[in-house]
Amino acid sequence: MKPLLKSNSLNKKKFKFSNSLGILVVIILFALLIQTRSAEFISRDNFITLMRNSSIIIIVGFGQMVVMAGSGLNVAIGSIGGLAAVLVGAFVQRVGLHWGLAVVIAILLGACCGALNGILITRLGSTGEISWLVTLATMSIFAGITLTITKANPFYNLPEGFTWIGSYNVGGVIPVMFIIAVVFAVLIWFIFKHSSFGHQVLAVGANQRAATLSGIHVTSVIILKHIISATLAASAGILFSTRLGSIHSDIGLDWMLFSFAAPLIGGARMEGGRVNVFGAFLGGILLAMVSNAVVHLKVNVYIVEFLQGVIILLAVGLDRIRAIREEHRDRMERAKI
Amino acid sequence: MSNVVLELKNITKIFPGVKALDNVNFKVREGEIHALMGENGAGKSTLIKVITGVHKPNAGTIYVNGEEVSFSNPRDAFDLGINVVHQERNLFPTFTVAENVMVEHFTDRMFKKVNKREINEAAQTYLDMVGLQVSPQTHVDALSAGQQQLIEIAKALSSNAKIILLDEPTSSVSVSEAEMLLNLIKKLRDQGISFIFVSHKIEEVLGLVDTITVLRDGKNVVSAKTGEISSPVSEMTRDELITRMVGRTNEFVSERMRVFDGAKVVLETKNIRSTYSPHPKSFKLRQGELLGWYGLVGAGRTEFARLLIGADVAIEGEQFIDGEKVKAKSISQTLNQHRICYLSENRKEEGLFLDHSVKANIASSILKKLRSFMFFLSPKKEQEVADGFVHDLDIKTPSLKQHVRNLSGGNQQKVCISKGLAIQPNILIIDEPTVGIDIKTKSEIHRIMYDLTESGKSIICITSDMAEMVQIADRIIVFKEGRIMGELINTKIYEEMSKKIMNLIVV
Amino acid sequence: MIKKSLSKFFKNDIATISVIFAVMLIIFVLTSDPLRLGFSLTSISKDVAIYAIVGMAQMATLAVGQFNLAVGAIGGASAMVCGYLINIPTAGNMEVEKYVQAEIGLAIPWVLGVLVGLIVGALLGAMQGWLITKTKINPFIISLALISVIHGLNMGITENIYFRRLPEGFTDLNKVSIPQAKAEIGQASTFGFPLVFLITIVIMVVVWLLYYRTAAGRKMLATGVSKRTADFAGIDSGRYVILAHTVSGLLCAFAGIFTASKLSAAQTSTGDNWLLYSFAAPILGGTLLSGGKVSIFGTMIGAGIMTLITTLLAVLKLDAFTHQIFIGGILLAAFMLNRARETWSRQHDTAIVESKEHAVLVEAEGDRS
Repeated sequence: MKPLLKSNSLNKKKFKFSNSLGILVVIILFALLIQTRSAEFISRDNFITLMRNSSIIIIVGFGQMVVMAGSGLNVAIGSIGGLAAVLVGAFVQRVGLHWGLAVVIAILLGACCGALNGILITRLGSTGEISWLVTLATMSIFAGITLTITKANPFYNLPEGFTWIGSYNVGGVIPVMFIIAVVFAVLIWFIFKHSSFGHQVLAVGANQRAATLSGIHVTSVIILKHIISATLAASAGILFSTRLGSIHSDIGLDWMLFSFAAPLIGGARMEGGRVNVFGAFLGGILLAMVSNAVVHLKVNVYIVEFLQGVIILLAVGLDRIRAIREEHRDRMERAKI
Repeated sequence: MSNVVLELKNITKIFPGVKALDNVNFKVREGEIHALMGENGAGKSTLIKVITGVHKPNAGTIYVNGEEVSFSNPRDAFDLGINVVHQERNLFPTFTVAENVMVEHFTDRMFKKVNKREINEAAQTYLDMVGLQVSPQTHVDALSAGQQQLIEIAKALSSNAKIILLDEPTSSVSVSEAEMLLNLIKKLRDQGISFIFVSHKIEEVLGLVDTITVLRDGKNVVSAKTGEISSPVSEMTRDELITRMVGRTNEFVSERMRVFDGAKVVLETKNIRSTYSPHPKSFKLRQGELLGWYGLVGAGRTEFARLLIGADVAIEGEQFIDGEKVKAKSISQTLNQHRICYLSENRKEEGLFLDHSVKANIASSILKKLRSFMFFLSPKKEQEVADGFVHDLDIKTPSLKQHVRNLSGGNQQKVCISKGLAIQPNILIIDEPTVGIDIKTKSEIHRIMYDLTESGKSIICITSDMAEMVQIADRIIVFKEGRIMGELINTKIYEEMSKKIMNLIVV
Repeated sequence: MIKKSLSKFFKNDIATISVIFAVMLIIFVLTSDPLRLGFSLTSISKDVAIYAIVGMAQMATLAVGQFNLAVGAIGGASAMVCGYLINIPTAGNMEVEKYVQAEIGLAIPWVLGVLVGLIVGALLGAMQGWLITKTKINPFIISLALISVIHGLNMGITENIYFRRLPEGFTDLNKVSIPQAKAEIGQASTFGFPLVFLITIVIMVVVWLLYYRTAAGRKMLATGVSKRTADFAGIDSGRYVILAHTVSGLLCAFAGIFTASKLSAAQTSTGDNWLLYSFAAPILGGTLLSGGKVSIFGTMIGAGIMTLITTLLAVLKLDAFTHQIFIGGILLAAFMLNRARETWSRQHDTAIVESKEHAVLVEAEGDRS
């Protein structure tokens, strides 16, 4: 048997690498482009802002990516984030807990939301459409709970320790949140590259039937991945409010859309089975840059949303073109007798 | 005599309404390649599912290495060394070869560190065992079907399989890959592994296996000579094997041999080929003829039919309909313009709208004709057309509103045929018309096909059922591995025709 | 005997939810202030109309087995286009806050404006369908991205202003009802069917005709049940997917325009909360997520139930904030009911099976599985 496929395996590795490289190139070019129009874009202060902004996008993106890897979705990611943030506010200001304890409890409760999602989904059939519908419903439920807690009144005057996380820069340069995002990235990378759980999630996404036949407990995998997703969402929501200085019920409202953006730009497959942690990380940075650039260029701030959608389409479009080229090549080979 | 690694005694399996397996016995020895043969519907799949732990038998016992066992789920069978390589792949396409072969490495526990180097090295061992020269880090979706099959065998070996069940292993691989696979099986057999080989390819089976067990109608077919449930291949001839599998259950005896020498040629191809039907093929179909395309599963007839109806595009060669050259570009075109209708063998997924009513299914192909006021459909016309077919084809259904999903196989097929006939085609290509259908309905369908040709329509009947072929076809074209091996005028005498057909295939 | 007919009753999706709706309506009527009852009912019917159309918009794509996630975005865009076209600009006095009330507008005849709005909706839907069919990119991603693209464009171009000077004829669609509802202080209010509601009924009839009496509708349903079978039957599934999305977009536009008429203002926030309702109504009504089966009347009842929930919650003096919880809960419950119904019916349906043949059938299934 001719070893003709060494090149193909390198192709796959190259893809991951080239995807990330591609995003990096785009980031650099974009930065340079904006710099020509607005001299403060590439500056220390702006970098710090960028790092801070991208942290949330990255963490939320990871939250979605973990679920996507196993061929599912978590539309409730925003409302879990908002709920967690609001719980912190409530625990601190109404119950009088120390903010550290409040954060821990809020994240645990967030994880419970994820467990609920996972349990409902696995009870109802474990497919992608079902996870869409279930999390659409729970999104509304969690948002309702959030509103009921806050009664539309934000929590102000948050404890200093809490807001410190949102404002401190390590070494004067790197925001604490960014470090947290990096830590999460390393954890997620490790989970998918080196842990059996991560492999099981990807297996379920790649071929659910084969996964079951291989003895993987698909139900446990789905529930666990939703728990992780919700934990990330809760963390993101809380981090976001450390920065804002206040906690209101609007947190997370628009997360549903961009939670998919970063992973997809990075090269994750919607159907599951493949993720790209570094790519998603860079994707988050790119998205943050776009919003940031809009402010610098003083253009219509609403253009950001439009661009988000366009970028997603471009990213998956390029992916699709590559897939078509491969299909075409396979077909040509098959036609030769 | 080597020891018996697997024995099934008096296995009976009942599904609502019927016995799928009736006191079946099956014995596999160590280091043996054992073929399990039988027609579609004979009980092979059910037996496989009992062996692999998917179904629990209603009666009977299973022994593994002499000890009585009971499987509550497939995992139990797997743990005892029974592995299955199914027809469709059970691999993870986005994973590497190593990750697929060594899948056990990460499925036993949830929280374990996966050591890439370890699994790559371990996988290499098994890759060497099966003779697959690819890097363990290759992604599986880059491999061919044959290579993926070898991966599945490597996977089985990595879990210390003692008994490997192969279901139609060479049906979707290339010729050279099939040869490699068969040699590998022999090699592994010599090392003490037992194989249960399920295949339609009689020649392949006769050339490879050590022992053959035949099932028919859910029961063992014993050797006429020895009365044993299985026979060593040395005692088996081609004819004997076919006789055991098929029996002689002819009900529809065709009226007479019909001659078509002077008839108009309604469909003709000259050296036509497509990406999926790459060997150039030429043939003629005459008006009023019932042309049979015979071949074993995987002979490429369906792909050729798809080419004719425009589902796949021809890359070379020519096609003529009623003498005029045509380029079949789409199913819609060949259906509406040239009136060629293709009825798929995969009735449930390609022939029917299972969750729609009988009425809706029949109407679906002729919606344009059912218009009354402006562009609105007339429910009355729809009812009339459906009623007509239900009556003419004797479709058993409590009402026209019944979802087709709930009909029996035979009646589902009749609905399919109605759909095809509704557009009044000139040429009908029916792929496996009676697979999974009871004897009585089988002959009804044969009668329908015959009558259609008598009324001037032309039919191409694709079937792997030799008896059916000889019963109804006027002329038979024999396919093998994508090529046309020859043409025969059907004398309707079974022994004679089956020999001639087999000769063409064995060449 | 009773058990059998009861079970047959509950198997019929529409019967069950009609009963639920009737019960809710009765509760509402009994617990309402009789003086305001007529007015409340008229008001409710306006909302039911809008949610029924939103539900039908999603139903149109569910028919071919797909989702239209951009229902809100398309509705909002159509509303804004229509609003801009028919808005009556004021002469002079440009000091009014530009960002809240738009003083610009073309003031064309409102019927024309509505028409253009509808065309915009249909085109946006068609674009979605085209992208899904031609690029073969995961339809979910395309639909998701289009939410951002369309909504972003909408917000970006209009800069989030409202068009509040809409012509009377346009707002009359909501104000005028048959018979004319009256709501005066001190007197019992009367009920009347608002024009939008009546128009919605007409739309429902047209949609029903589409799916049950036209070839195009049947082909869409066929594509939804089994795309492969449809391909073999010569049905161009790509074309009908695009058609399904176009119909969906058109219906979104109707809903958006009706909303603008109701609020007497065209706002970009139109459609922001439609996503959940767009799924809840059809699913309550018996439309299948997997495609191939639609229930128009069921969707309307489903919309009715969703609307009544919010009203009943207010009547029961529950916090406005808890609405979301209940809405989400209803969607879950509806879905779970659907699944239970599906599995139950599969076990109990009478199959016409001849015993010998079933074995062969089972075998054949096994061979192919």
